[in-house]
Amino acid sequence: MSDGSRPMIALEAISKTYPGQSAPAVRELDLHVPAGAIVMMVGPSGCGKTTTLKMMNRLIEPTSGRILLDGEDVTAVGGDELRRRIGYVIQQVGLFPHFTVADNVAVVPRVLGWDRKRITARVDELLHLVGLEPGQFRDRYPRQLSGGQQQRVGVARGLAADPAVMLMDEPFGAIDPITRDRLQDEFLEIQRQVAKTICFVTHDLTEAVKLGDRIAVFGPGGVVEQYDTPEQVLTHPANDFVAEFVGSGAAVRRLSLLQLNRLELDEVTVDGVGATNGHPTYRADADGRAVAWAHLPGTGAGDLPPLVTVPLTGTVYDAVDVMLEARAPLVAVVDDEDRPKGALRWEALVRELPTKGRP
Amino acid sequence: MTAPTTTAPPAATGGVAGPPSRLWVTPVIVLVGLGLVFGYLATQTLDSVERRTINVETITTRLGEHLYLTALSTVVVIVLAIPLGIALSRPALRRVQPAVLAISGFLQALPPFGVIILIAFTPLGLGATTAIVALVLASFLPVVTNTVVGLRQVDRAMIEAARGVGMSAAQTLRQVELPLAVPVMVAGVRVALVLNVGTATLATYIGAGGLGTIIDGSLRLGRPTAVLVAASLVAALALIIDWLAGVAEHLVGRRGG
Amino acid sequence: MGFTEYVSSNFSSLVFYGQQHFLLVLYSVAAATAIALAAGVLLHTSSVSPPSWSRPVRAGSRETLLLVSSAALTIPSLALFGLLQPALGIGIAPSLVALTIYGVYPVLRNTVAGLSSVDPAVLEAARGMGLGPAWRMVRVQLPLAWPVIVSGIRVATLILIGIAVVAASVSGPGLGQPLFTGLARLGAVNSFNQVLSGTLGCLVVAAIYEIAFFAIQRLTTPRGIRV
Ligand SMILES: Nc1ncnc2c1ncn2[C@@H]1O[C@H](COP(=O)(O)OP(=O)(O)OP(=O)(O)O)[C@@H](O)[C@H]1O
Ligand SMILES: [Mg+2]
Repeated sequence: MSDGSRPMIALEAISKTYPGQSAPAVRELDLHVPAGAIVMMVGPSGCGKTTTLKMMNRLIEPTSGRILLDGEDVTAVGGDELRRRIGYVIQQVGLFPHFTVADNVAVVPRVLGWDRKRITARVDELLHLVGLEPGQFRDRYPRQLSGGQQQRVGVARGLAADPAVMLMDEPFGAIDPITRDRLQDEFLEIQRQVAKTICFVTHDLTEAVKLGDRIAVFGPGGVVEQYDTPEQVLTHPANDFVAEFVGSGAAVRRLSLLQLNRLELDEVTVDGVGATNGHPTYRADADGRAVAWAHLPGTGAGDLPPLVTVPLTGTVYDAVDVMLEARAPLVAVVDDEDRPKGALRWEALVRELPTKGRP
Repeated sequence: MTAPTTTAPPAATGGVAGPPSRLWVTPVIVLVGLGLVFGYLATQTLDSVERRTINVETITTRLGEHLYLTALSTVVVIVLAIPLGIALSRPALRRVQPAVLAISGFLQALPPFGVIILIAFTPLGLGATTAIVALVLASFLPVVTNTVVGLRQVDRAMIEAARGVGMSAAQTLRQVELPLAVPVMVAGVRVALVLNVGTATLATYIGAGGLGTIIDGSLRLGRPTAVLVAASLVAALALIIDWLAGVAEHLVGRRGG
Repeated sequence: MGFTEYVSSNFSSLVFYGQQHFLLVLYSVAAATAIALAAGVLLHTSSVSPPSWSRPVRAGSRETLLLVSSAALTIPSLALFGLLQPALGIGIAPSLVALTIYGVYPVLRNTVAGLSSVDPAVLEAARGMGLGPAWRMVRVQLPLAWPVIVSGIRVATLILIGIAVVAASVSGPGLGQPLFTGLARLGAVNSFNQVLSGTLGCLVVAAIYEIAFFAIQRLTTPRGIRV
């Protein structure tokens, strides 16, 4: 592992050839998923993402290779026993139509023999977590739910026994963009609380960039073309295939995929507090909000540009937009209370955009 | 015996012969079955009573009568029941459909045996006509039901799409509903007609002949070998009729694309 | 004697025949259901389960059983009852066996169709959560297939009520008794009434079963899939 931490899931030279087919669906795949990370699996249809995911919990037996779960070789462990330890959310949701929402969520805890009180408490906790009011939804049947609500019950069901590892196959696949956006935010919120190791298949590059600590780009024939941070995948595609996949020539489009809070911003200091150390300095009002630039390195006091701001939750695209609009060579990136957290300079755009890990 | 109403989903309505790809199965079963029966027969020494029924002449006569009864009643049922089934699935009559289906399911419990004899008490009296009327009555409602069920399982969206592109009701029926309904419809109708062959054995009780005459006579005289021969002929006839229907459906289906 | 008069003067014996008929059908349907359900469940193959050597064997046996049990329906009832007589004698035994043979196909056909119509996504989700084949069958597939299976049992019951009269040809119990008596004395006094009472008696028995099935359908269909 590049970051030195022990992988939670390690695929070692995994191959899968379906019976009766000449070409393997997944070929000699190595993939290490660090503990507590979200790995997003993207790639064109039919390139083996689902197959790879299903081999991780042995829904499909690999033709060759080794799978290590938390250091333990699971190729020999009983499949059902293994799957009870791994949360699994399939794209088609697959809720049991004759079970209530509560019964659906409680399936695995029941099989594991939890006592009734603990199960009830867990179900309510999970329904809260996915934003479904337990009092209102507990006793409903799946057909009485909307598609998005069903997806959330599916996610809650996968989380029920508190597995350390979650496998999710396009869990937000069939949801409208607005609801999906909200579910993604909820998902990141959940992940902040529960910190699981998650493998997540998606077709949506925006989703992959937004949710992923790392992105695995699959190519035809079941090989991983690039496995890196979202920023690296966007800014340094490993080869032509990845470049094409993330959008050929659409460098500008990539800017809109990159959130400002993922960037290493230039430091800024408030005017009159100690040395500037060559950082941009701004004048603030009583609440700490930036009013104007006080000093910019290499710029005369008379040539100071107007101070424009962009929220930390915005994207690089938003920052560029603001800068172009105001003809400013830099923009202050501010938090919810309008207090500057850093600055993004125009020159930085044409050089390498320095990124950091998740906020 | 009356035909089972196909209240199950389309997949459940398979006829005796299964999917077209396995059309060879029925002839094999028939040949093997008949081979076993006649092989067994060859090992038996027949007494004079048995020889009187198990001979080429008697069997051909009875087989001919049986074919006549089944063929005629089958044609009458198809001509009457399928149009009625189609009519029942038109919007004007759709309201009475559930009632017809419920009654038809319930009337399956009527023993054809009783019905055939009761009709003999009517002015029709004994004979082939009565037998044919009884056979028609026995398989009429199941065929209506299967026609209705076949048409009902056609996706409403397809029909609406057809009407939406400007097809008339009649065009929709001919070009959309019937082609889509045919597999389920034919499967159910086949079962009804197969059972009709078995029911025709009862015709002997009202003097209309058929293979039932050999069965009944041999049962009375305690000659199971003869019963076996006649029964296997009835079963073989039923399976062959089902197979022919399957072949016809396959050919029509292929031509229709 | 008119029919009403005949019925009222022979009421208790007709009720007795009706009861016999009801029970004969009940036992045969129960036996046929047990056979068909066991076969349907044991021979079920699902695309969700991993391939194994037994899958083609089970699928083959299932198709064969379907074929054989549907071919059995083509044997004329009169002949089947008669053919069982040398082996099983007369009375209840050959009647039960013959009716059971006729009852297997409708139940088996619907069991197979019901089990295989369960959404594969639901089964894959279950397997993905580490739930084994027995759990999936008992907790998911059977409950979801149940309404279809019950309607198969209902069809079998109705068919058997009609066929069961032939049991009287091997001195079996039920409403076939008055029917065959009337047939043997065709033209004699009351022969018409005897045939008519036997025939209509079947409808009365069927009505009782229909009510029972209505109740069973309502009570045993899982709430989540009730329409
Ligand atoms: N059960 C199977 N039997 C045979 N081939 C299969 C099976 N499942 C998948 N395949 C083949 O394996 C390849 C990889 O399939 P897989 O489902 O893993 O793709 P995927 O990347 O998940 O695609 P998508 O994005 O469309 O979901 C495909 O070519 C597919 O046709
Ligand atoms: Mg997939």
